[in-house]
Amino acid sequence: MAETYAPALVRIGDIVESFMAKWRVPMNDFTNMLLFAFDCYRDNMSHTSRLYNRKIVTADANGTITMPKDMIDFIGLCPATEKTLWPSTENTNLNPEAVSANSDIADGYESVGYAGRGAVNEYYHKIVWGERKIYTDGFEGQDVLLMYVSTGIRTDEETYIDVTLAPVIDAYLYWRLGELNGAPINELERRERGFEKAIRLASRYRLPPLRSVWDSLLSVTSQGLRR
Amino acid sequence: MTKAEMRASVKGALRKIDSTAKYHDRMIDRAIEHSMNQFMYDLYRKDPRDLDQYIREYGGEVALAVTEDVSTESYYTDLPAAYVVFPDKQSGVRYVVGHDRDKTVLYPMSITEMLLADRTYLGSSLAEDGDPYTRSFYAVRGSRVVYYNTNSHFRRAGVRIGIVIPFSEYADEDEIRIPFGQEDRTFIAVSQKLAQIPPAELIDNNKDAQ
Repeated sequence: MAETYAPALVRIGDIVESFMAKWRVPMNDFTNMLLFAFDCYRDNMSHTSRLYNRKIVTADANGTITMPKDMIDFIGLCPATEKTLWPSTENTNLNPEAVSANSDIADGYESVGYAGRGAVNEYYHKIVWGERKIYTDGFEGQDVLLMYVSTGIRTDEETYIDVTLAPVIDAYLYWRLGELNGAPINELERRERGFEKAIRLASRYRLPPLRSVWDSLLSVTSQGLRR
Repeated sequence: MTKAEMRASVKGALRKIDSTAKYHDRMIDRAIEHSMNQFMYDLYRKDPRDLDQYIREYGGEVALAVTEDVSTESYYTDLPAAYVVFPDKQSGVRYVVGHDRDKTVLYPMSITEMLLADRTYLGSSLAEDGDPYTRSFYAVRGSRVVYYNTNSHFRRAGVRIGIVIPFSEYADEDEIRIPFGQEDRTFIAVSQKLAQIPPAELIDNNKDAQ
């Protein structure tokens, strides 16, 4: 039986087809438009998306985690087996060369400070983007729930996109189509402004910036004092 | 107007300088074809989608076969007719649709894009190995179309293809659609073209040097 309403998740190619039908774009431009749509979606995921991935990864014996290939940005790291998400604390002083199979940082005294008391940390991490590794202390050999921002572009099926993002992709395609067709510079600027407006509207109503998501997520999952 | 009628009307309007059959039918056909191609191109420049009116479909009842080129591990279909060349990816092959259950619509791609596609999201993000592709593409290469990202059930079922064919591909009894509003221009252009050819009897035999 057919669905009653149009789906909220739409394949990226369908958004492109719909755009081309609306703007009477010849089929000739489909491949270019589809590639532009991928770019737009990926950039949105990098900069403004509210969407994040959760993946359970296993830290090795020294507590080192290899980032997933699609990971663009880091949100949080928690023990995978706990019912409550206890986030790990970033510790830039962690020496990746010296972390061992044991939990190395004894925290007992650091739980008392000027601004608060309690919240003994058991989990620390240090992110090294160059090596695409997350070095941890406390997660040795454990399953870890990694929350991160992904490119969002699937490699196992066609990418499905939240339909609220369709106006942003439409505006982006309209702008790029102008460039492909040699539109004058003032027209291109008009279309670019249209794209920026679409992003603002999306951010305002449905798609809070990544940092807002991050703060929001951590504020409800943090156990207390964070150093 | 059929092809034969069109040819006859041109022939009837040419000057009767010579009692012999001066203008051969094939010469007239060729002149009409050149003019028609020009008008098709004008149409294309105005809006490529207008060419839809002049497409002839092949493989509608009996599907055209999709064949594997073993040496390059690619798939292709030999075109059943010549096409008018246009300066875009589709050229005169305006659409390719599968006979499979999904009636897969293929998207045009240039040869260069096809060479580069494996390194782009077109090659990596429209299906995983072994799963059906959600988007398939074709490129026009000479007298055949070659495919990219096709599924086995599509290849088994074959395709139907819409082609803008030149005047010479039509049979005498076929209806010819002259581009909208171009009837007069077509007729005049063909007449002028043929009028440039001097009759054999008017060669100046009194010239000093032959």
